[in-house]
Formats: sequence, C-alpha cells, structure tokens
Amino acid sequence: MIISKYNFMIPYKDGKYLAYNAGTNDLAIMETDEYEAYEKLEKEGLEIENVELKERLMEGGFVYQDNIDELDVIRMKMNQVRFGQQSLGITIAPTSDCNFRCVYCFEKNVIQPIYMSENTEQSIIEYIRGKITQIKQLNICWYGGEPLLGYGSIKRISKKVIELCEENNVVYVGSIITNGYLLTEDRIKQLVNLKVKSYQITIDGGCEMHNKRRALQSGKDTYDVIIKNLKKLVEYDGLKISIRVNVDRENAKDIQLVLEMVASLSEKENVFCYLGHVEAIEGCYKEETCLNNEEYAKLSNEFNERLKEKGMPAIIFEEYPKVQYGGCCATVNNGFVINADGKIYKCWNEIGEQKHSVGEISDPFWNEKYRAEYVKFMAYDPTQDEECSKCKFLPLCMGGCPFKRVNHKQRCYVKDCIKIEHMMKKMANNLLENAEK
Amino acid sequence: MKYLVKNKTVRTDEACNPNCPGRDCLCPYDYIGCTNLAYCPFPDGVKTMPGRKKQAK
Repeated sequence: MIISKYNFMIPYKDGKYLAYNAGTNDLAIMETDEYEAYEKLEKEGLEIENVELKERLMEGGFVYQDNIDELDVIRMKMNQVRFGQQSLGITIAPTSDCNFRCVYCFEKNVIQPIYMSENTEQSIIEYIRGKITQIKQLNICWYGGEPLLGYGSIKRISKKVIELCEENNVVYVGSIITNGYLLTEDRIKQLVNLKVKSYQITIDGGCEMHNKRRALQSGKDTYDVIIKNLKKLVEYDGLKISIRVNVDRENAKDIQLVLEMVASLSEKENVFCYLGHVEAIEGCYKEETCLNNEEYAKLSNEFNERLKEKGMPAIIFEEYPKVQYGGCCATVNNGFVINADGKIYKCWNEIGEQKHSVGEISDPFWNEKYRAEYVKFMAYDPTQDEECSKCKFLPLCMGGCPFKRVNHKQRCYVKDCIKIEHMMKKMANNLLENAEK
Repeated sequence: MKYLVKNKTVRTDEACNPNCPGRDCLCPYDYIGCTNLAYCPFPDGVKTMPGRKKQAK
C-alpha cells in the first residue's frame, strides 16, 4: 500500500484532522485514532488494520493498493480530458474589428475591420455538421474584437447550428464576451432566442476611471451606455452575467465602486463579479502598471471577501479548489478559436497573430496537418516538467496557463499562494456548520 | 473517516466547457476566487457543495 503524494493532512479541532487529496479533490474529516493509523503507515510503514478505514482512504485516493506511479494516473486523467470526444467548444470571432480602444488591449495590434465572410460562416457550419454525430455538447463562445459588430454572422451561424443540434440531440449553449456597448434591449432579446446564455461584460471602475480605460474608438465615454444595457440584461431569467474588472495599479482603488454598482444591479443570483488580471501580453501594456501575481492574488482575495459581505453569490463554492486535468481550449483536441478571416488558433491570446495559426476552417483537413503551433499545445505535458512533477499542487494547477508555459517559459508560481490549509479549514467549518442545521 | 466533499469536480471527459470564458486564465490564484462556475453553461455538471449556505442579501 502506498500513500499519495497529493495528501494534505491538516490539524483541525479536538484532535481531528482534515484530509484533503489534490488528485481527487476530496475532503474528509478523520478521527484521532484514524489519523494515528494513517500516520503509522506513513512514518513507520505499518499496515492499516482497520479494513473500513483502509477502504475509505482508497476511495479518496489517499492511499493506493497497488504500487503505481501517481504521475501516470494524472497523465491518464489529463489525456482522457484532452482527447475526449463528447464536447466540442469553439470560440468564434465574427469580426476582428472593435469599437473600443482599451488601454491594455492585447489585440490592439490585430484589430482590423475584417468581418466574417459568408463562405467562412458556411465552412464553420460544415465543420460542425461533420462532428455533430460524435458529440453530446456544443459550446460556442462569441468573441472578437467586439463580436456584436459582427452580429449578422452570430445570427446566421447560430440559427444553423441550433438546427443541427436539435436534429441530433446535441446540447447547445452559446456565450459571449462583449464590451456591452451594443447590447441593446432588442439585441438582448435576439441573443437570448439564439441561446446565448452567458455574458461577460467588463467594467473597469467607477464612471470616470472606466471611461479613461475603456473608451470608444472616437475617444467618447462608454460607461453610461453599458450600465443602461446591463440593467436590461439582468432582467432576463436564466442568464449568467459575469462582470469582469480588469485590474492593475491604475484602477485597483476603484474596485469598490464596481462592487457597489453590481450589488445595486440585481437581487438575482445570476450576476457574478470578479477581477481579471491585466498583463502585458506581448508588450501590449506597460509592465510597470500591471500588478504582480502576489498583488493580484491579494487584491482578488480582498475583493471576494467584500463580495461575501455584500451577499454576492457562489463565492463559498468557488473558494474550493478545482482539478484542472483538462487545461483549456489550447490543450484539448476539440477546442479552438476561429478568427473572422477563417484562421484557426489554439489560444485566445494568439488570435489574429497569423504566425500562431494552426489552420483554416475552409480546409477540411486542417486538423490532420499537425501544424507546429497545434502540436506545441497538444503535446504540452506538465507531468514531464521537473518542477511540476514533484509538486503537491500539480492536479490543481497542471502547470498553469499553457500559453504562458509554452510561449514564455513561465515557471511555477503556485506554491505558496494557494493557502490550502486556511482554505480547507474554512471550507470544513462551512460544511460542518451547515450539516448541523 | 467522514467525507465532506467527494467526487466534486473529477469529471473527466465532460469537464468544463473547454472554451469557457471563465477559464481564460488558468492562473492558480484564480482558485482563490475562481470564476468557473460563474460562466459554466452546465452548472448541473459541477456538483454543488453539500449544504452550501445561501447568503443573505
């Protein structure tokens, strides 16, 4: 019997221990005698005699019966997700154009008045038609530029794709990342009919700060129009609305104003708010204005605490760690990004940078040509990394953002920043309190 | 030994939407206040924490 290297045994109350395993993401509470038996196995190699305890520990991945390499288990789970066939996730930019000129935009060098042609739309539909019998879920995320500038493409593609999904019993869900400026009431109605269920809109502070950072191309203000549109959007049931605050040194002090605005927007539990970390991707912004990882983590924590005080939803749940075997669309076989010109990318951060394109949607064999940029992401394996392979947090992190790891060789930055003991104690307190009610 | 959280997110093939906008960054700091659920179009697929307390407005 071997002990998992992803175990965290945390002293709790009255001699009890919290047992958390990062590989399975399970959390248990152990009595003193149970922990002592575990400790004897760990320190002295003494077998656990209590059969029931042994079974329970195996269920949560705390111990293994066979002598296996846990990295192989992680690699196996990672590959299951990476090459799974049940869902297809496509991010589509109907245009590379944008009506905003945000100060930190990482696409500022690739913003162009390019709009998707009907031929490209048709190629996307044909690609999905070819996949539809193999999948159970189809997710399309409308992205840009500003996707609502290319609303005609959204409408035409959505209609066809929804039909295809209905004919083949495939679950379809649309989402959109928009600056919210063109999200008029009429447009909202139409998008809801086109099954766009999730909306991400960015507000960067109070009115003055937001307008300074997220102005129209003409330089005009955008805050009031976005807020007006948001007020209409929150009236719709069944939508998920995420308000993102892109934060850096310039607007860090303004986040309280966003929080107050969001709290006043809706009584419903469908409005979420979070901080996005502004980074100087490919030199798109001033490095010195960006918060470093530690500063961002601290601010994000404080923000979440304030959200809780305001009774904002879902925060308790979201503090619990998540296992990231799948990575993101860059590292899953059935995930990619299509730009308005039909060029395909693996990562959102690379959209429009043609040297990173992995193919063209009009080419039916694009994904069999194994372009270097495609292989780069799909072959990325954090379990092979010397540092990651020894790390107790690997299942929770899987090396972090593949874009950063693959392109910029960013090293690990997780270790001390997941305050796992603190988090687990808090989580256990919440769970036990509620169980007693 | 009593489990407080079990099999919560270990869903292999049908994990989160690979293009979920909440996953635009896998920065581990996001775990502290991860936004995945906020965006997840399949909230039923992400098991709700047992006994999660609904916070008062």
